[in-house]
Amino acid sequence: MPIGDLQVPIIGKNVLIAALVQTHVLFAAFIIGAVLVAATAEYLGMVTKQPRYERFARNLARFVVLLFASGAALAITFVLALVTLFPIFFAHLQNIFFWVFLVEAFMFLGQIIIVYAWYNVWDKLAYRKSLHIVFGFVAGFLGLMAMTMIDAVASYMLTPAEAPVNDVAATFLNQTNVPLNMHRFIGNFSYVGFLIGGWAAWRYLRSTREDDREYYDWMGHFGLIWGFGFLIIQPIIGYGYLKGIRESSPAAFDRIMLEEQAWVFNALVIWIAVMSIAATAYFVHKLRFAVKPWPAMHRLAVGALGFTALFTILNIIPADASLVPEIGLTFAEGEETRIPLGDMYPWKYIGLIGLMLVGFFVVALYLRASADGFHWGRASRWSQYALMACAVTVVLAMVTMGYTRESARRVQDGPAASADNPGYLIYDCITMDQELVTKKEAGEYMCPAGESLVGGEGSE
Amino acid sequence: MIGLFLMLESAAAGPLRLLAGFFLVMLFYISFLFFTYWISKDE
Repeated sequence: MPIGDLQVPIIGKNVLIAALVQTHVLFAAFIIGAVLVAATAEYLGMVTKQPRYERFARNLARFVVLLFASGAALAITFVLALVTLFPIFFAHLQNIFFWVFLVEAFMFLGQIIIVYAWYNVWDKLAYRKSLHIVFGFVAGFLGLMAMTMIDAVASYMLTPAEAPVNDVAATFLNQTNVPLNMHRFIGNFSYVGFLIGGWAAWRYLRSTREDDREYYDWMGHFGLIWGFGFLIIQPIIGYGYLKGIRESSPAAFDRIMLEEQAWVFNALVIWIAVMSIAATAYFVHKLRFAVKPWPAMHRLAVGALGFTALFTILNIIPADASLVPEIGLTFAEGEETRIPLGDMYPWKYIGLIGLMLVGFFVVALYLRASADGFHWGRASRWSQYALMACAVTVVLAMVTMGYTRESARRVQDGPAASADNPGYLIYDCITMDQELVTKKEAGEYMCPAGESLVGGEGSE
Repeated sequence: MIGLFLMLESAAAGPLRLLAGFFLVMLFYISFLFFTYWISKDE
């Protein structure tokens, strides 16, 4: 290695990168989603003439403007850390994705300019509302494009394309780029919605003025519709994403779904269970305050809550008694001890599909009731605690999924298998020690990018 | 759950680093969020 191999004391360099990137993503995802939610709210305010949409959109836009610097500073710190700690890997990555990084930089620049302009001309364009709303949506679109670019890089690291690295279209459209991008696009809305709900709940409980209580009660409802409404689409997209990983990088799929790290998905379904049950319970509670009460609908929603609990519990049951083998949390015979109802097929499929169907059902009921309106400002304390529980668990779900994707490449088998190789930075191509994998099998390079990436000198 | 992690495998580097990373993320995240709230709350 031509450059000194720097290490970070105590936590190690992988954890340092992870901490910076995960924090950055929590801000970046919030900003992308919040800009689009705020622009939509502004549009709804223009159409419905309800002032709370405008108040909400403007406050959210202001929060985004204030938060932007934190998110951007973390991104720069992360790139600095990456260049310092993984210089060889980053040089390769920059070469493969020069165009993608270039486009991303300009999308980011455009997003900054438009977001700040959007917030600053709010009063100036008060009589040209349509134009102003377009500003918000353009800012959101540019943010989405920046995300799409970095998703190409992130997905390539897990499922590199079987094409030369200078084939821009092939590396960009590697197998998991599209599903990853869809998953994050939907996830942004869900994440932002739950956080808005949690924040509104906090403010609701602290508000003493009647109009504030009404506003924050409505805001919690509005956030949760985004949060839960988009959450229930995620299992299908996540399935498509995992299918892509299984086809392109089977050992990584086995690691996160079947073997030593399968516990991450048990953790994830616990978070999904908390969010689903809390959101459904909130909906059931809220239906009591419908302007036009409909007892049958309320009873249906109670039934839906029961089914939600049933299906989420079905998802949580682990497949075997080897719960978290990495820390020795195994019971009985470990993997040999199968747990009833724990298998993916058919039980978890039933659980996930059931959860989605019940979710669509209860959201449809709730939207029907909200079309006639609710009496705001009367929600109980525990319904606000449910919103706050959703906000906390959605953050846990985000960091769990980020950890899952990035640690899926730590496969012990494959061409670079050895005791001191903890896995890959680019699957089958560059190890975590920044060595190129030049091993061939039946005359073909193991690295899908082949000679274009690993044709030079490197480790076997 | 966190207590379980610490109790069961305090010697192994993996889970402890995982925890350290998680706490770092939460520390950064919550402190930046709080800072943003703090600079904006008086307006």
